[in-house]
Amino acid sequence: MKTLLKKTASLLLTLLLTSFLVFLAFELIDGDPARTMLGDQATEQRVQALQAELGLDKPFFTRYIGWLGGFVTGDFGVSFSYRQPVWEILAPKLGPTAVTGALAFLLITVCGLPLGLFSAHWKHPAVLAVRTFFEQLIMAVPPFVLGIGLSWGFGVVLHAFTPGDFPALSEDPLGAVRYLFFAALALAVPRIAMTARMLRMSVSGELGRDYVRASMARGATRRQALTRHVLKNALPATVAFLAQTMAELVGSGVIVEQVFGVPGVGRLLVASIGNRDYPVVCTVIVMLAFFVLVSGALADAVNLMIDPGRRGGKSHA
Amino acid sequence: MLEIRNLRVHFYTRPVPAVDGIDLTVPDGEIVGLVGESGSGKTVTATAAAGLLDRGACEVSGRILLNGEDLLTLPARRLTALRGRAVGMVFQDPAAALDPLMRAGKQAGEALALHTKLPKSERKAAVLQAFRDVELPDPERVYNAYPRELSGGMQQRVMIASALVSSPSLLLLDEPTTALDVTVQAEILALLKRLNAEKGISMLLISHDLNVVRHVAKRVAVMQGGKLVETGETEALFRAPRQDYTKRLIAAAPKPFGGAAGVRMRGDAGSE
Ligand SMILES: Nc1ncnc2c1ncn2[C@@H]1O[C@H](COP(=O)(O)OP(=O)(O)OP(=O)(O)O)[C@@H](O)[C@H]1O
Ligand SMILES: [Mg+2]
Repeated sequence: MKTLLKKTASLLLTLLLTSFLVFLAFELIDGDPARTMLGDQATEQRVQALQAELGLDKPFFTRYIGWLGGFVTGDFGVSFSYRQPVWEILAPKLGPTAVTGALAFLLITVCGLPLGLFSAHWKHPAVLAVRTFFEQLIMAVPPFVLGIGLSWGFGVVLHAFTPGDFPALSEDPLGAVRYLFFAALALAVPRIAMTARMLRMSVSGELGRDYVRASMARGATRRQALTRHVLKNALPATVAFLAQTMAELVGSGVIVEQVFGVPGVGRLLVASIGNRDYPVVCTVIVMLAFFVLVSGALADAVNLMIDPGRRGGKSHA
Repeated sequence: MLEIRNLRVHFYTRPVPAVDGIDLTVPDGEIVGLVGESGSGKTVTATAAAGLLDRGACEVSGRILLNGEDLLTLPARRLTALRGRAVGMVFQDPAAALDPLMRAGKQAGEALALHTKLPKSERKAAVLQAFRDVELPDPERVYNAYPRELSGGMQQRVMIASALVSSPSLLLLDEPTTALDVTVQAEILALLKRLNAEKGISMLLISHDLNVVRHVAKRVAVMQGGKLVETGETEALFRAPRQDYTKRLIAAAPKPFGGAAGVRMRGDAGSE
């Protein structure tokens, strides 16, 4: 109970700090929202009028406290560039982003984990060489290059979807999911390789341990030792890795949305940073940070369930 | 009865065989010691006798006869069955030999779960009996404990119990006391002696410490570089070692004065 309280407190503190840093960053970088919106031709008077309207004439801390006060009461403020409540702009973007992320995560677990287990068993030297080659190739390709490749291959060559023509999630859910699947694929492929590799290494490591030999000495086959003992022991590292993957999907998701023209949170974020629209940017970033922190906390909770005594990382024996 | 005949184990990754043509017999009801310096091939010998060699990683020749059946030519299925029933193995580091995430009782009953159709309650009864046989205090509590909640000595007793549940005729003990401190060492050795006397289980007791073996094993084999350099009655061998290597092993060990309680030697610190 006490740890739960402590964890929640540190989570809130981290979010607070995040929002402050984002706010501060806008204060430090070049570009004033009012000037950006009105363009170079605008008179000084009009700029000042707009600044007053947006509350930009007030000192930094007043603005931050004002924003924070609104945020904690569920009022995320009004977007500078769209002149609409932030929530109204953000809400429709959540769907595509969530679907892409969830699809990618599904692909990663469904493909990465079996591949990893399989390759922990498969030790032929030729297979090993091919596997290493592909692993390194896939992991070395940056997501946007892979994204452009996939978008060209499936979109332009195979006509599996039309890049840039995203059907609305509410009107054509199947078409939308189909479209997002390819973005998810670009997001997932490098991480499938990483997940498989991670699981393979952790399973191979566990397979070499004494408790596996001991179980086999009691009459277990290698396969039985694997399912009875090894998988459970390899799980904490895997869960932690998947949580980290989930967090990383947030970052690469922004890029992939850009490449595939997915109208999601990532594209909104990039556009809003360009517009110096910090009510939107702050809300989005705090939200994403919250997601990252929660996935980490979730992983901790799952591992605590697997190993109630918590042997702490890999420090056994 | 275990009879090892001209056993040779050559790992593909190493230039010389780890075990190079040894002959060793553990008669029914006897404790035989196997001593030698680190890397002499003791663990590989025990692993082979337990039918646990990874046949894809080494070339094996010779025969390992367990009650007349050759483990090296037995089909895989028969071999696994034999492992869970006729032979038990105990390892040097009990903390590493126990799965940290499985309760001690479940691990100790694993051989029964894998090889019998006994209902869970009877398996538990058998495990609790084995726990009492190895003199574990409060067997119920130990049954539900995770390995890390037990002391080193208790962990090793759980390991011995996990081998005993299936009433094997042979125990392979690979340095079972090396990781334990002196008093616990003596207790475990006394326990092994008692199990041998009461249940007639034969044992191959491996150690790099001649003094561990001295008070427990009737016969002892001395191993060096994969070969047996000397075999004989333990006391005779102590009184009149024929090989220089054996003399050195004896000289390296401090003279025991407190009986089995005096077992501990310099070599303990340096190995593995
Ligand atoms: N799986 C393996 N693959 C390759 N070489 C091995 C393997 N297992 C053991 N060896 C080698 O075989 C030799 C004998 O090893 P073994 O473990 O039997 O020695 P030991 O007498 O038990 O020593 P210690 O007292 O240190 O336990 C060593 O040189 C070791 O490196
Ligand atoms: Mg050894």
